[in-house]
Order: sequence, then structure tokens, then C-alpha cells
Amino acid sequence: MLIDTLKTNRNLSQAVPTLKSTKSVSLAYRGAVLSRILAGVFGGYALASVLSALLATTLPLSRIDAVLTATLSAFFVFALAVMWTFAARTAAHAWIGLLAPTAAMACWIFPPAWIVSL
Amino acid sequence: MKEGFRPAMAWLHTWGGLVFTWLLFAIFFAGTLSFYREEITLWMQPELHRVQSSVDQFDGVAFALKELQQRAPDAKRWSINFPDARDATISISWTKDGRFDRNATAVIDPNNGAVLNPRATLGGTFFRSFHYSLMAGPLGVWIVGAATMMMLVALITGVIIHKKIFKDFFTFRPQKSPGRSWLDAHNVSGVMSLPFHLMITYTGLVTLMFTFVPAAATIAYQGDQALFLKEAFSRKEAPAASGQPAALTDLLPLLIKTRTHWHGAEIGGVTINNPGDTVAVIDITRKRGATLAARAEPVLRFDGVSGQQLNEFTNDSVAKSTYGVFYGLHVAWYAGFFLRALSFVMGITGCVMIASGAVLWTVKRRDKHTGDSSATGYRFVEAFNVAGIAGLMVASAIYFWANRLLPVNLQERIDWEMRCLFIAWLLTLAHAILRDKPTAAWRDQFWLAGFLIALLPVLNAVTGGLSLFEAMLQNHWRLAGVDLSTMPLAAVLAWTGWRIGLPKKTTSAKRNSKSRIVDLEELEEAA
Repeated sequence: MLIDTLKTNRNLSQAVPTLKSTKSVSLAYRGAVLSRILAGVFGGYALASVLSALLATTLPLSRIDAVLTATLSAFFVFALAVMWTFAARTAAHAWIGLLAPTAAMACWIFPPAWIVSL
Repeated sequence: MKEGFRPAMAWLHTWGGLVFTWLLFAIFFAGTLSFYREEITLWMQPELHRVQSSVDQFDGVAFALKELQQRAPDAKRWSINFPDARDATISISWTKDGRFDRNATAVIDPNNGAVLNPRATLGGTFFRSFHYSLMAGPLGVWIVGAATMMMLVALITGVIIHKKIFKDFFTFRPQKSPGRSWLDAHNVSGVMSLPFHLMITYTGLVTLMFTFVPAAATIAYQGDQALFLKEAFSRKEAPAASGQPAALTDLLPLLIKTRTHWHGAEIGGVTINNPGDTVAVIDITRKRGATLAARAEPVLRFDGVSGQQLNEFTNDSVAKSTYGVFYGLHVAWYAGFFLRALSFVMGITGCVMIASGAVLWTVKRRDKHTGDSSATGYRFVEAFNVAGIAGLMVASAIYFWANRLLPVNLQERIDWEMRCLFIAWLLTLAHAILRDKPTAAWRDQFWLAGFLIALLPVLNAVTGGLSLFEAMLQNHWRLAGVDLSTMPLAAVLAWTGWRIGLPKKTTSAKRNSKSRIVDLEELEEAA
């Protein structure tokens, strides 16, 4: 099956430019799509993970209940994050929209020394 | 990528869906068969076909204890699984170090204590394991996880790009152009069972959620995995053995007491910790599937020497129940005859939705690109479609045939059954690539799969199984059901093969009919 998936990818890369066969697709466009895919997969996963960790430590429930609730919600956060990446106006917007809240929440969980000293 | 929210979602749905189509189809297909895992396993072990159901659940308990005493007097733990409506045998297992070992198990006829020797096979469990791991270990689990995540995204975006979702409940136009009827097939199968698809996709992620998103547990428990698992699944630790021998109390009265305590609920199994020791502890677990929630069956614990009740472990939290219900919805242990059949049919609509989506993608592009540079690419996508969909049916049928035709005493028998499946699958891919016309490849493979499946009841009867006729006479419907289901399945496959092979209708109707459905391509062009 893995081989199947790899094959598809190869076919995809051939097929993308002919989606609209009259126009050729620029390298910049391809780069932007790749950037969004990476943002969706890794940025989305990071956002979902960090949000679930934040919920697990802040929800006013017993520890195990908070962990379960947070983990159960992570998949919808991930799905919405992936959709956001492809709906955002540019690839850069997509990255910022994912990384900014991720970083903010990560700081909440593990406050860096310079914030604590303020 | 397209400008605008909806076209962007259409793009994500199409390309994201396409990348994972074959994988998702295989996952859905294997998962659908897993609803009947125990029935398939029974079919694949003809040695067990003639075991009669016992009158009472606890009829064979004395035989089970005798067998455990003989085989593993010094084990750390004994386990007994009682017969139920889906499995007439009583099965025992034991362990010296706490780990499960395939060889430390036995299957017993509860009516006479005979030790049964079913052939080595994974049976229906193969489909369940393939369903979540592709038989490729942790890497396979993660690949399935990624595909399932994409499925969730494809379902949500599919709803978003679909303007007239309610009208499409009733729209199927098989006589229209091929692109149109494939889109209809995709829409109808997708929309009709959308609640099921969303449920099964999300709950599928939930079954392995601590593997996929360990962040919350890791941070909240500061990396203490053992403590987390203990709190999450109420792992019941048994006290350590004292080393002093003591006679085990009589099990049967405890079982009957427990059944009364739970108002006549069926018992799933019993675990005896430190058998023959002064600190022996007996845990009796209610049968799973009595409620919707899974992994939360109550346990009654008794002192193994005096027979005194020690504790009752029950589920105590809303979040755990929620998790248990999600888990339970996915594995459908709760499902009786009707709900199980409904789940199976819903699973098939999922397969149809994914398959028609994949076919739609190629049909829409096939005619546009004949002769140009990308024709070879489409040719390969089409060949993978054939092998991924029809080929998987052929390979699965071969698995059932291998189960009956491989010698019973073959070394690595379990592996050989699976190898037959995977080799057959590769051969269908080779056939799909080499066959001159894609429609011919589709037809060949659908017909071959239909043929192999239609003959399964015959194979069953001539290779030592209880034949369909006998099974029906003996009211053995769990077994007869497997044979009976082959006929409609084979008929559908034969019909599909015949329909695909028909010459194409002219496509002039396409422009005349004013479509009321958002067409992905029109969306793309509008943008």
C-alpha cells in the first residue's frame, strides 16, 4: 500500500500542471502548494498537540478527564487547521495563522525564563 | 489551489482525497469485514463448525480449570473466556510473566471437555489488523492514521463544497454521461451515510488517540506513562504471590453470584491471579458489548481462597464514558444482529463512496488527455484504481481459498495465508497494467472476484466445513450467514463487471441537462 501511495504522488506531480491543460503552472505556484501541505501536516499537528496539552493542564476537571477531553478534541482542531491552511490567502498567512497561536500556547505551558522574570 | 473558500475546499477534497484513495478503500473494506470478524474466523476453522452451543455459559468451567491445572500449575495468571452467542467454545490462556503467548492458549468444547485443534489462521482478525496497521507495524498504524485524518478533512470539505446536500439524497442518474453518473454515485453513497462515515472516521482516530496525539497525556502526567495508563483504563493490579500454597476456592458459586449481582448479565471471562497461592485473586468481567461504552466493563474481584468479595471496579467518570462510547461505536461490540448488519451495509456504502470518487477522478480526465503527454500518468492511476478496488476483492477471496486449500500442518501457515493474499493482489496490479483496455481489466477482475466468492460455499462443503445446507438445518446461522452472504456479494460484483464493460453512451446529454449540483470542475472553472 505504501508503494501505491508513493506511486500516486508521482502521478499527482505529473497531473497537477495539466489540471488546466491550457495554462502552465509556475514553479512559484508549486512551491506555494508544497508550503501549504507542509503547513497543514506539521503546523496543524503542532497546533492540535499544543492546544490539547494546554487544555489537559487547564481544564477544571480531574487530570485523567482533562487529558481525555483534550485528546478527544485534538482531531477536529487538526482537521480545521488543515482546512485553514488551504483557505488562507497566501501560504505565508497559513503558516502565521498556525504558528502564532501554537507558539503562544507553548509559552503558556512552558513559560520561557524571560517571560517569568517580567 | 484556487481563490475563494469553496473552490479551495474543492481543491483540498479532490487532491487530498485522491492521494489516499486506494489506501482508504482498503482500510474501509477491511474494516467493514471486521464487523463480522468472529463469524469469518469461525468459517475459517472448520474444526469448530460442529461444536454445539452449551446450555449454560458456565457448563465447561470445570473442564477449563482442569486443563489449566494440568498445563500450567505454576502460572502467574489463568484466563478463561466463556462461550457467548458468537462463539460456542470456551477458550483458556495462561501466562508466567504477564505477556500473552499464542502457544499458551487452548480451545475447549464446553459440552464434553474435548480439547479442539483448530487450524492455525488469523481468520477475520487478519482484516481487523490490516484495517489499522496494514500488517506493517507502527509505521503502518501511522500511515492509517494519516489517511484517516485526510478522510475526516475530505468529509468536512465534501459537505462544504456540496450546495444541495439534501436534494442529492434523491439524485442518481445512471443513464446520463459517465462523469455525471459517477458523480451522482459518489454523492448518493457519500450523503446517505454521511453520519456513519463521520462517526466511524472520527471514532477510528479515537481508538488510537493516545498513539496519535500523546501530547496531552505526556504533559499532564509529566511523562509518567504507567500512571496515566493506570488511571485511564483502571488497570487492576493484583497483589504479589506469597509463595505459600493454598487451595483455590470453587469458581462456579462465584460466577453465579456475580451473574445475580449484575442482574443476569452475561459474563465475559474470568482472570485468576496467583492460582494455588494464599493471595489468589479472582476477577470476573462482564461480557463486553452489554452497553455502548467499550473498555469500561465492570469487574467484580473475589479472594481466591476464601471466596469473599473484595471490590467492584466500575467506571466513574464522564470523560471516560465518552471515550468508551466513541471507542464502542467504532468496534460495534454492542451491536446485535440488526445493527451489525446495518453497520456492514454502511461500511459497504463507504467503500462505494471512496471507489466512485476514485473512478470519477479518472473518468473526468481520461477523455481530455488521450494522446497528450500525461496520458501514461492517467493510465497508471487507472491501473491502480482497478487493482486497489477490484484487485483487493480478488485477493481477499484468495485469502479464503488459501485458508481451505493450504495443508493444515504447513509450517508458518498463518503467514502463508497472508502471503497468498498479497501475492494475488500484486498479480491483479500486473494484470491491470498489462491489460490493453482499462474497462476490460475492471471487468476481468470483478468477474474473477465474483466467481471466487460465489464458489466459497462449495469450497466450504468439500473441505471439511459444515455445509450451508447442514448449517441451515441445524439453525447454525452465524456460519450459514457467511455462506449466504457470498451470493449477493458475487451478484453485485458480476453486475458491476458487466455494467463497466458496456459501451459508453454519447455524452451530448451532459451539456443539455442543467445540473443542480455543484460540479467540481465547474467550480474550478468559475474560479
